[in-house]
Amino acid sequence: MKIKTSIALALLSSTALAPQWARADDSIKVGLLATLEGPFTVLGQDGVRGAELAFKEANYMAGGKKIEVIKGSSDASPDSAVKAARKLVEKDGVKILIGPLSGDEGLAVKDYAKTQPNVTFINGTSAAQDTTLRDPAPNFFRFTTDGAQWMAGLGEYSFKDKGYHTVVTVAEDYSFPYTQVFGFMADFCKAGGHVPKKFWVPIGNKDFSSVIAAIPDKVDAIYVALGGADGVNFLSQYQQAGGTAPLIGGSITVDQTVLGTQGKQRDYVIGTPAAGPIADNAEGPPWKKFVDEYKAAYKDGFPSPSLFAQGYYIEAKAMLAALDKVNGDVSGDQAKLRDALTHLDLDTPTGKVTLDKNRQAVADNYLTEVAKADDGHLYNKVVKVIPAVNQTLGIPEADFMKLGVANRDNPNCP
Amino acid sequence: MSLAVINAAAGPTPRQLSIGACLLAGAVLLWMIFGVWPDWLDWLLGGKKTFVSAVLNGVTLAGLYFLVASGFTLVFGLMRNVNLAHGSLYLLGAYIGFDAATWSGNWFVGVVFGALAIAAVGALLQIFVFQRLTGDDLRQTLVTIGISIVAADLMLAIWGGKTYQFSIPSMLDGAVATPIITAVKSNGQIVTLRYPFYRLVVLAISLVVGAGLWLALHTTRFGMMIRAGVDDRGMLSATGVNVRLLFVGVFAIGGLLAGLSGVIGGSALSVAPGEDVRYLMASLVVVIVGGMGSITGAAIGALLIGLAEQLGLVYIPTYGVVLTFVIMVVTLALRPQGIMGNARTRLADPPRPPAAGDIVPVEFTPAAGALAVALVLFPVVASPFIVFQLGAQTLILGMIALSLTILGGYGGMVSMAQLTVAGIAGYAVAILGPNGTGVLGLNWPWEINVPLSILIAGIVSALIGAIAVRTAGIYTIMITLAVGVAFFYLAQQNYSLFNGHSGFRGIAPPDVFGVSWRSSIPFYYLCLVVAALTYSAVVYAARSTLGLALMASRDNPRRARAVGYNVTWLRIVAFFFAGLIAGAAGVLYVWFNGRISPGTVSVSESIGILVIAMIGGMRHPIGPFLGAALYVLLKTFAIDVVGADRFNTLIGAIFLIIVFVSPDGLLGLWRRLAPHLAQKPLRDA
Repeated sequence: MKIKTSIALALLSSTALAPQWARADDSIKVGLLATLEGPFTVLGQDGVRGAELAFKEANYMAGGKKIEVIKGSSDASPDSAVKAARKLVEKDGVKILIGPLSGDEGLAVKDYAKTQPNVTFINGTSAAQDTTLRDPAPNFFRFTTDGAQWMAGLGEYSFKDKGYHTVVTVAEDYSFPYTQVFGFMADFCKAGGHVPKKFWVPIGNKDFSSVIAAIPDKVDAIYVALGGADGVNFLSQYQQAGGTAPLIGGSITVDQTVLGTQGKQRDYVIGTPAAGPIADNAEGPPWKKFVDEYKAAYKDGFPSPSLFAQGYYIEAKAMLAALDKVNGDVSGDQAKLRDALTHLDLDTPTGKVTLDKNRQAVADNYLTEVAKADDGHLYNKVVKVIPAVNQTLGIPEADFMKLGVANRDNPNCP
Repeated sequence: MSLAVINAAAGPTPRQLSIGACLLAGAVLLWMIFGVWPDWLDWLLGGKKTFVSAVLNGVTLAGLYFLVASGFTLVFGLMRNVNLAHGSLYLLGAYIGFDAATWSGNWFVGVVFGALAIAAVGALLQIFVFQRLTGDDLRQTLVTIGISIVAADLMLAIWGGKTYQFSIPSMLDGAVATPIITAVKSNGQIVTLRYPFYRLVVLAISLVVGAGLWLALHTTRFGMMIRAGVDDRGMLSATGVNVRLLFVGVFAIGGLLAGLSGVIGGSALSVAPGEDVRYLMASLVVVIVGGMGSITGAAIGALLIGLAEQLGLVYIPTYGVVLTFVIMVVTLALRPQGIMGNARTRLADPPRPPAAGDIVPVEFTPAAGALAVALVLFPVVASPFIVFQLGAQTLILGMIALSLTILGGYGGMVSMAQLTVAGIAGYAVAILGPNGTGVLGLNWPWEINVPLSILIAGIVSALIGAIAVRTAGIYTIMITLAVGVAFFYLAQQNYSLFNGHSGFRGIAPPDVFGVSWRSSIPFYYLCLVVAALTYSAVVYAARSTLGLALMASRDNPRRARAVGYNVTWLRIVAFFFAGLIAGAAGVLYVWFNGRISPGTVSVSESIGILVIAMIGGMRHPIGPFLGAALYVLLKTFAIDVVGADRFNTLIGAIFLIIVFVSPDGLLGLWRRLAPHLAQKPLRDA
């Protein structure tokens, strides 16, 4: 009986699982990697919506070839992202891979990209600085901005326009919030602001009440970089504890999750400044057209596309545009395609995007403030658009690198 | 007690002393809360407001933890059922309560609905699931793990990844003034503390529930029956009590408490996926510290853990999350049965291997030879991707599960910390050898680095064993699970050694003999050789005196002791060897992934290893490899078959079926089915 088992195993592995060699010349296989399982499922699904919207617009055609999309899924852990990327590249044989969604996943996929020189990797929405800043991979392209770029303009605005001179930060204890706080403080400290204390709360912590009690009374505002669920928790607990200091938001703090919740914290968040790569009611026809298309295509989507939908949309658009330029040539080492990607001048719903020498996006950033619409719902109103923010936040590269890697203690201006 | 007798004549007894110390500590705490602080104390503790708030938050959080843990401990006390799906019941209660509250527009309707719905779910679980497994505590526990995997996935499918926030009735909302003075301003104005009213409500509810439970247990007939059941199940049913009905009733109460706390706790914080694991872990730690089966213990444990968590968050934010687990380990070391537990419960149940019957002796049959040839020739027929991602990964996960099988199958101790041990070896390789993160990476040569890492894993495993073997059976599952979680948090929070949440990347096997061992085919053969070595070692060890003694101590520890074996040492040695195997696999795993981070050793991954071991079967050392093959196949191709988001439902369902139908896994299933399928029974079937 064991022989049977082993024969069955051998058959299974040689037939059912063998790579599908049939590869038509008139189609290009594209991998789409997002978090379709685990706690970030909702975000990953919106990312896929964004990418598919771009493909639909192009009728799944680019450079005269058919785009065949194969989805891959991770659970937001870097291990699972690499496993999924490996399956897409080595088993499904994709020529271009779009993804992943979150920061540490991006770093892991970049490392994997180095082992696959004949495949082009285009980021999803992962926003870790070092995916492109330090030790970049020659075949990894990112048309979205990183977590520090997302903060561009916020620190200066908080200090000068809002008059917040002393701010404490509350953020989760890992790399993405470090980068966000870094981006905020780069501006804020330079403008003359002080951050006497940074509260790093463990990931998954839901109970902020003791942290709230430890916030000094004499602060002008609290900078909060907590994602969706945790942001909601912080807000409601702060409001329950009778807190009155105004807030400053990170890029994922005052998103639809927070704006859409019911409860007293709604009124409290009005006027909260924040910054990020998108704004719900940005001016300009391209954005409005994008939102309308999104709403028409996805009845089950968010009320307005999230930054994940926007990010994946832009990356997919970039890929389509480059493929058009090279007539769908993805053969060999894909030198032509990569050259086209590098020199792309991409018009997106959120402004013009170009790449720097590390294949990292230089793009507009939106400074927003929470406002109440006539029908009572809350939205992020655009205060200012910071044009063409580069990865070093306008600081000369040598000086920027001297600032070092963002972590719990860096930067520091007590 | 014996100490007290000896010291009776010499002044105050230890009991009097401890009461005195408690009174003094209470008085100091009262003064710290209600008195006006001198400057030095303000400076030392960062302000009175901070300290008092943290204490109050700790106490109110303890109220919530008590609510959750009381149901858990009640069910355990009577039925020896470690319901690891208790967290799922909590979350389900919160979701149902939320829907009910939204639908009716009334929060109280949500509370009632959430509690009653979960009471019904609890009763149904007892009737349709646990009743069928009566007497097999370990399988009951395994079933609850399966249920929790499937439940988490289905809840994600139904309610999505969104965060739900209850709107609390306005009379319970907002902050209230308390008579606690936090500061006196220079102009003499007194500043008092304002505190969220709802948290006080949570505390009040938990006090009422706690008192109610205590009264019900100690003054009613129903309570008497339950307490009698805790002490001696057999006697109780002999006296004519319908134990079946009683069990259903208790499970319903346990469910009621879980559902109630889901809505209450969900209103205090929020409702989102992942809360199930969080409250399960909280319940586990609370009852392990407080003592399994004791309501008073749950209260004490909850208070300790709640305070530790909140004070830790403020005063040692980095390691606050680890603090609770430190308390747990210290408690276990000093008093394994927990503060209020009794020693009888701890060791009452003889540890039982998950598979009935003996380990199947391993013989070299033609079939085994064919399998070996097939494994060696595998890379010839399969693509590099299949060889690497499926082949190598199966061998690695199989080895980690094999280390669990040794402990479970041969030793009767199911350890959930095997992936943690593997992870420790992986971290050691990343720290001692070269890595691409730019943090640590001591660049030691692999000849030293790799053996040392494996040895470290063995030693850590032995240490975990030293804690775990103080208890038995299902306790081992809980304790090793908690140790695994503690390591996960430690690695996530510590940057100086573990590089925190990001961990280490850029780790590759060395190029030895001019071979790039990271390429698919060499790496597969490397894994195959290591797997074959560990497999042979296990087969050999099982026949050795040590292995036989270990099995003897599994089947009857008392008799093994009587014969002259030191059972504790035997088990620790078994943990050490299992640790070496897991460590070797861990080194390969970190090379396979090219990286390691806390996510590699998370709870769900640890549970995955248990799933692999159970699916494969613990009666034969080939079992874990079969289980791993199925697991990896499903994990890789689920997205093409059922959609990635339902992988967990699929694997959880398979796990449940295996535990239900065939306690000895796929191997056992095959052994049972083969005679029916084949025309004539095969030789060894």
